[in-house]
Amino acid sequence: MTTQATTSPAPRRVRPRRRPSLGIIVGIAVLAALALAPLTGSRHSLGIWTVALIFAGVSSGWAIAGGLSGLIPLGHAAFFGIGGYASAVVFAKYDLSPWLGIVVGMVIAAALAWLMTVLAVRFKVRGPYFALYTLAWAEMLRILASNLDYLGKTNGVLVPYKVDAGPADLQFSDPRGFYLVAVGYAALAMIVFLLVKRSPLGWRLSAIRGDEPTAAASGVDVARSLTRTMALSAAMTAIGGGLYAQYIQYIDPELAFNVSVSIDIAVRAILGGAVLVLGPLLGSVAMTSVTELTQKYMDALPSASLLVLGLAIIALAHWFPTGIGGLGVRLKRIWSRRSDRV
Amino acid sequence: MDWRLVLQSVIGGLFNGSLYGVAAVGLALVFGVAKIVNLAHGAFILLGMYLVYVLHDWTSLDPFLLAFAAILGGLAVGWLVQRGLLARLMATGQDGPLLVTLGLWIAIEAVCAMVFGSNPKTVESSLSDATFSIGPANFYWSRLVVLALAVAFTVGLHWLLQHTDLGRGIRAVSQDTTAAQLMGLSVGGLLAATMALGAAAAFFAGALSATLVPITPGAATNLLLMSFVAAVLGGLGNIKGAFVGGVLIGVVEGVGSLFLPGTMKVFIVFLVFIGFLLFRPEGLRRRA
Amino acid sequence: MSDIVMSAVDVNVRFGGLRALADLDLEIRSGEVLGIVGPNGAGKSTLFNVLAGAIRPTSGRVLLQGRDITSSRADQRARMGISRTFQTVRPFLDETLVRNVAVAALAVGDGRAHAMDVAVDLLEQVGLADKAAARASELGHGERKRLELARALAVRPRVLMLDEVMAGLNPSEVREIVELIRSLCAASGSELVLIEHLLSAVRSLADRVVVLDAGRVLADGTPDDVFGDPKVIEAYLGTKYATS
Ligand SMILES: Nc1ncnc2c1ncn2[C@@H]1O[C@H](COP(=O)(O)OP(=O)(O)O)[C@@H](O)[C@H]1O
Ligand SMILES: [Mg+2]
Repeated sequence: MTTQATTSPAPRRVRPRRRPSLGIIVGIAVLAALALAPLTGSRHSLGIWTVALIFAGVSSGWAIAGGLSGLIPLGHAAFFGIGGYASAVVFAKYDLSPWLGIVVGMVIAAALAWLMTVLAVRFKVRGPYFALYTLAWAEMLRILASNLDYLGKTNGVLVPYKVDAGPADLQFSDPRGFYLVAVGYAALAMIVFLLVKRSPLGWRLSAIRGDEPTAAASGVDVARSLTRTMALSAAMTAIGGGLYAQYIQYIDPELAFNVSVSIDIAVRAILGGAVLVLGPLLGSVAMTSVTELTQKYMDALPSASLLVLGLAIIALAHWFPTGIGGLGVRLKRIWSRRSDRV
Repeated sequence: MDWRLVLQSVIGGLFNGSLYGVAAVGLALVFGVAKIVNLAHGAFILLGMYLVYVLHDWTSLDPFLLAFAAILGGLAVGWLVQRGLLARLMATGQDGPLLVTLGLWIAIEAVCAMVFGSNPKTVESSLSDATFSIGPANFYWSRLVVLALAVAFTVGLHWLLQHTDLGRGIRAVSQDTTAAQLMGLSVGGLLAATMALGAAAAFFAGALSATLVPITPGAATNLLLMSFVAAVLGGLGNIKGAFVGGVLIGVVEGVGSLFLPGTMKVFIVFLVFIGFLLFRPEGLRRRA
Repeated sequence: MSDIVMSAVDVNVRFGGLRALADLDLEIRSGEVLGIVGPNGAGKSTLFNVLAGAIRPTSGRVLLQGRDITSSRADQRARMGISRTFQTVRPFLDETLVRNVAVAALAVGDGRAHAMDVAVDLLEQVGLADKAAARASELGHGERKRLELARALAVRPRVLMLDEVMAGLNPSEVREIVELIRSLCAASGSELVLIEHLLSAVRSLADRVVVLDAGRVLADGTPDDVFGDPKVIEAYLGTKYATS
């Protein structure tokens, strides 16, 4: 995203920007701080932040599709759940590394996303219809999982403890181990998001987001761009589902596929700013912080955090359509204009 | 196959379906006119349930009577939501309104959880235990009342849209907002009226289902999903179609339960839904 | 006559009961500037949509240098060099002007850096170089039309179709864009098809004019022949000529 001031003289040759943006620098700093945070000795609520980071990654995965392409997928629980079940089943039933399970989950999720999107593009299911369409796929998986013996029906699948477990089994004697895995995943998801955003695919997606007929008239292959993007987004989301199931050592149809999971994933990204690298991380941290704070000070009202969240979304829609991160970008733009910088 | 079971499932499905139908009618209206996919529709349904619960607790009147009070509640809430939260965003495209209704959904569900807790509440109608039989199958009278009221509401709404000035105005806006504006209609007012009527349908559906299901903060999610399916089946925007779609889903569910174990019948419903989104987005109607 | 670059053969387009194009035949010849005129609703934009692949005709075929391309998509046709502007321009509002144009150059196979260079050159040609780094949302109406022109040029068109690029522009802007289109025709060697209400502009630019009315070709010939044809004057010019 180029944010040069408009009053500047014409650049003779405008190259795609290679220099790291402020967002990347801040992102690296934040991730480094997060990685180092538990070393300070405070292990309080490490678990909560582990989950928050996993969801930051999941949400970044969502944002590849939901932010960059302009699609509004509301069924990413499908991919999250596939990742969760795949890693749990591969580990619990076949005694193989959950990492392998995560890869299996990525492949299945990507294949499903590809199929869904091919159909949706072919039959012109777009906008709000696409949201409902993806939601319906996730619901079908939820119902399927609750009825399949192989997946433990509504009981789900337990991830057993392993003796002499190590990082290969995604089990750690020190809780900081899993926390670092979560930091790594969030970082990976953000890097993939950024690479897509700055790639030729990212350019095409930005055009599709801007206006589909104009993009097509410019030679952009809309169908191919969208199917690839959804597949990648699904694969990144599946990793998070796999990590989550391994972390809580359990997965069931509701944790995996419930509508509220899809919404949670989307809302974190939208809250933070779905077209920004830092958006999903910001959104996820904000959401977890709100939950934590309301639980601390309003523990009699466990739903207070949801109320805050709901109101925040409404406020966002009215005043900050680009999310918390968008606010930062706006401030940065004002600053760079004032300092007359290009 | 056991005839009693078949009758029980199909007619039972029909009864359920009328509830999906009346909920879907509101969704279809709002989409057809305001082009808003109203995710808060489920929250409105939930408010209808709790409203009946509170009023019943307070007045001990029969919940089916109180359902009419719920209509008033829905009108007020819908109007306020449109005027206060959605009107300003209408011009910015579909994402803003979608986000607002999502926020409302989450916030209203949270408020209900804060006020009423997560313990299920129940509302009993004086009719709750009475049954009647069709052939070998037995049904609760209350189900028939729900069906009758749902049909009555839908017919009433349809009449209002066809034969009153308000209805004509709403239809004008749904066809062409700019033209309606040029004709001197108050588009803002008509959109508010539309949302009010849509919310009234949701409240009414919630009120009717209050006697049938335990009321919890998550109780309306299923009805929300089913009404989306029904509205798409009917051709989003088509009132009669949405009701028929709802009834059809109920029957599909009923028939599905004859062949499929557990909740797999709902799987079929979503399969049908996806099929319609892909192959017949215009819904059940014949192609124009 | 010269070679036929592109043609529509027996094309019909129906919208419900409405026949937007009826048994329409059209040829675009090598090296010409073709003007398409006709009253509102005549089917001009629909014809562009059919030629550019934005809509599939109900029946009939579209040929590019003799090859049947009726079933290829809009983006494929753009990459074959069939480029068009939209009557209602919708640029990518959140993007800079360079990126608006560069994405089209990218789509036809340029690398990113080269696409940016191409975009900057084109923006210079349409007189928007000084705003290259601004966002499209900051542009006025006339500027958006010029941006649309630059975007359409970025796919390196063999056939360039301009849909009312002069509508809503003030006289000085019209003069600029007429000059621009003239120089484009001279420089690029691509075929130019022009839909325009502004008949004076068509008259000064076009080698040949086709008049559409109610989805049919009413007249086809040199500007002087066509604009002198009583049939045309009755159907169209009688009301429009005076106002333009
Ligand atoms: N997508 C569409 N759906 C229905 N009718 C359309 C559509 N596009 C154009 N039309 C109709 O087709 C006719 C021709 O329109 P158009 O090609 O835009 O005319 P022109 O560009 O010559 O003014 C008009 O009557 C118009 O209303
Ligand atoms: Mg036109």
